Amino acid sequence: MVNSGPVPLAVSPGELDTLFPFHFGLAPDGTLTRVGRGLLRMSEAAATGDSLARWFEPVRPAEPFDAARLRATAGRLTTIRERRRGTILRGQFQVLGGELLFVGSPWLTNVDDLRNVGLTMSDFAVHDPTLDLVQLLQLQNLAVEDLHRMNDRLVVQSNQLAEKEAQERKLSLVAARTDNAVVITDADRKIEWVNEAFTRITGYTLAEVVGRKPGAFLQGEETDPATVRRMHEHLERGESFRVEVANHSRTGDPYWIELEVQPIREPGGRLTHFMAIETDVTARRRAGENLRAQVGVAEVLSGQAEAGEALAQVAAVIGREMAWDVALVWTAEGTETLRLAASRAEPRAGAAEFCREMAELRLAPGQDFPARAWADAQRLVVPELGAHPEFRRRPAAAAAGLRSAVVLPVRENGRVVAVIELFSRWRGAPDEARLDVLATVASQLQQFLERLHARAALRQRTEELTRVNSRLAEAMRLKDSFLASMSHELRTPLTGILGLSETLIDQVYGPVNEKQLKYLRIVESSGRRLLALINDLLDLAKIDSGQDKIEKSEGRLDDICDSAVRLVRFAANQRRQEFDYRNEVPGLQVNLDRRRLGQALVNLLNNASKFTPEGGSLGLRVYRRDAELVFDVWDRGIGIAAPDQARLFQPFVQLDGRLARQYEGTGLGLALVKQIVTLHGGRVDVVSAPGEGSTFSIVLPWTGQDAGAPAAGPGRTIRVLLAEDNPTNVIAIRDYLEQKGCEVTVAENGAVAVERTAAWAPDVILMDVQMPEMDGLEATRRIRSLPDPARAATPIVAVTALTLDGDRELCLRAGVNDYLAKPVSLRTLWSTVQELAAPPTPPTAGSFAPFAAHGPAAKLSRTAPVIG
Amino acid sequence: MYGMVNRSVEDMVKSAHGESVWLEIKRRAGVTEDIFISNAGYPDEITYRLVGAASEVLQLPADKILHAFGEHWVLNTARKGYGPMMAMGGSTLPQFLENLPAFHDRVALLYPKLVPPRFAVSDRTERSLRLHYHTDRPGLTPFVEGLIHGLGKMFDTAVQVTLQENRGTGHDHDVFLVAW
Repeated sequence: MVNSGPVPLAVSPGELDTLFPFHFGLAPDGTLTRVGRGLLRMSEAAATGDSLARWFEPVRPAEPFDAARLRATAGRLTTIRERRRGTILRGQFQVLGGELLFVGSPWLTNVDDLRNVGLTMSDFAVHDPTLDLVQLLQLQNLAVEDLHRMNDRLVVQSNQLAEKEAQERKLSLVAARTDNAVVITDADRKIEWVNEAFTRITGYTLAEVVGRKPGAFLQGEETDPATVRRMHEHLERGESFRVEVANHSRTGDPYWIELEVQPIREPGGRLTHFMAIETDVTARRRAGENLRAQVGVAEVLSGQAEAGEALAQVAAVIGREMAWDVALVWTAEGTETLRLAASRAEPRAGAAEFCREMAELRLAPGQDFPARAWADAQRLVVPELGAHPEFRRRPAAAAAGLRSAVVLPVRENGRVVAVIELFSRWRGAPDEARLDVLATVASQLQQFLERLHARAALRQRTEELTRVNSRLAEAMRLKDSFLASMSHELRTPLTGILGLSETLIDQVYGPVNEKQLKYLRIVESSGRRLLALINDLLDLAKIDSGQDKIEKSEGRLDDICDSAVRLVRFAANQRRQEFDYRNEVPGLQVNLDRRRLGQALVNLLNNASKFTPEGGSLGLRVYRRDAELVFDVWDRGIGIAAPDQARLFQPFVQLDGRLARQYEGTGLGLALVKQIVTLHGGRVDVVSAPGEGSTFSIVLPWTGQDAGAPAAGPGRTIRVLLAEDNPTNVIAIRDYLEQKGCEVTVAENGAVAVERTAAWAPDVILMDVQMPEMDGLEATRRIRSLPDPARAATPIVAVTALTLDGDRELCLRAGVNDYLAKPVSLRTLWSTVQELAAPPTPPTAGSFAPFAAHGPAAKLSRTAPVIG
Repeated sequence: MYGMVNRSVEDMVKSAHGESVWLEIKRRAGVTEDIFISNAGYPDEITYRLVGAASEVLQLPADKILHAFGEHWVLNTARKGYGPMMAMGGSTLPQFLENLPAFHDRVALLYPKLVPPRFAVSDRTERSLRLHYHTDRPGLTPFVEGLIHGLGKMFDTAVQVTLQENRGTGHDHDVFLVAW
């Protein structure tokens, strides 16, 4: 039988080593018969003949090496351990060609094992997959590592996600619930999400706006184009920005928002979204507009004085500041019809045309809104023009795009005088705040118009009063003129009567018998009483007009008191009254209204004499009491009861009718005294008791000082130029002065007086004021202008019936040295002439008037302290 | 390429420049993968895009980046990923270079989806050899140069690499003269 099996394989030791580098042969006695190159590399010392157990130990099966048993169990998976390195060998015992062989490979599971065994790739048989197995295990490890990495990443991401979600839940809750609208768009600005506030403000739901660009359906034309441009630029660059823009809600209502936009980027920087937060600032903006409108209206009204222009400007301010598209002002034309008085239009298509159309209209009573507001005097708010049945101007309004209106009546004193009509292109009524402001504006206008009206009425009244006042002033001037004239006319004849009576009483022209003397004295006293009445009446007129005032001049107190005493002593003598005059401050220089103080003393002394029975006593005592100058006028007369003393100084009051009948008088004397003393800063005291007499004390502040001795008399013939046109006065004065030894020349008018002064060189000039051709004042001025300084300085005494306030000042200003009121006492005249004719003393330092060395004008320049 | 390669690029960039630079490179490369799985295959294009973006971001020529990547691959990634074979590839530089062909034969077995390069050694002398590099992928010559330098560092051996022939000059493969 032919053996058809394969030819027995003969394997050389080298081939065996190539195929199985990790092999060894085992003899029945347990010694190694051969060792493969791989094992030799591993164990380094194992050699043929060595005991197997020396280098290796069994792992599985765990029984000690027994060649016979191993031969019996050949082919079984066997693992042994190399003792030196501990490397496990995986293989099998196999009988090959009768020889028991072990073939296998190191059992390696990781890179460290590889390094430990000190083998390289070439130490393994090419077919041995051990290395690949290790590599696969390594790949397995890599995969596990990847899984761990992914797991770690997932855990981190999961935590981050959870945290982010929690944060987002909070943020989205905030975003959803906030009052501000929140919009999130993608990088192309298409909306991805909006919150509830957005829907509340705009009226659009999230579903309606997703995928749309906000600007396309929200943005309003009111927004400043520059702002829109800037906004787009920021968006293009992916930058954050904040702007204020006008939007429109779904219903078309405009509203203003403050828009804050933030770009949202990935960690790598890529722009993915924009987030916009929109704050509704409409109320704030409208409040600003309202405020500006109110301020603007206030400015207009404060600077305007014309009603029509004010209305037009107010409408313009409201229109501009509150962004009304059209503002109209309607006023009445005639009694019934309304016509356009002013208008203001926004620069929008159709608005100006609408105004022009309105200007052509005339609205009849009740026709359309303005006429209705005119009739009802009620504000009208029209949220939707198109739906209002009364609106007649619908086509014109529609063409201008106007949709709503507010109509304001403007009242003045209870009636409507104008109607302001405001149009908007937006539907709806203004909010309450704006309506309140409009009501305030209407009220401001009303107040303005009423003020204007009142001002016009006041102006008219003022004009009327001015006219009345002017007539009154003229009447006063006529009265003053009449008084001056009357005074002159009354005094001039009295001068003659008194002067001639005095001359005759003095028996200048020879003796008169007793009876004649008695009658002459009656004539003189009657004349003086008449003069006193005239003076009191004139003073009464002054008190009435409130014009009474004092004119101070410097002089000796002695002169004032002496004159007064002289005037009264005569009457007292006639009543056989004892008159006691004591001047304890002789030579005192005072600055007083000498005429008035003299008048006060005379009044008091006259009263003292009048209310003292014949044979009684009275007197004047002048003295210093501390810082006061006191004039006591006393009498031992009837006295005054205490209750009556309070009424003493009231004008027109006489203590009782009986007294008034018994004693002559106007009832003005004490009132005049009190006024004169008060004007001097003094007071009048009264001490009196019925039956015991009275003491009236004039008390003035003391500021006086003693004067030097009076000037000595001239002791020569005094040349007197008498300028006087009244022949009676000429006779009286000339005769008296000539009797006193004067040389008298008469000039019948001012012009002659000037000529005679220059030619004749008088020592003193007595100058009447009211004269024909040239009056005394002009003559005085011309004399003062004479080229000869000596003539120009001639002393001049004004002797005049001009006794009203200002007359004395008038004379002094013209250049006179002294002033005597007619009717003049000839004795006073003589003493004045004597004084002025005295040789002039050297001018006092500080004197400003070289020609006025004498008299009041000269004394005015003195600087010494004086009474007054 | 297998994810291990892209991950190696990621490790190299992150260790030298940080996470944010790596994210920017990924963004520029248009790569959205968060994690590269080592044993999963990815299109070669991803690796090329990453290298290109790294060049832009780091302002370095792609050649230098590939060279650096070659070194990094040997010294970091391959040691780990191909540890067993790297460990068994030889105990000296020439031994390892001589084993490179067998090394890649085994890699081809283990990564069936990978199209590995082919290496051959010729003109072995005491101090040099010629390494032949065959591949279908363009532009990786600097990577191989960096790889050889990395091996020199791994075996503490000073090495000189001269590119004697390359595909850019009309040859069908690159030939490096490696001397040590």
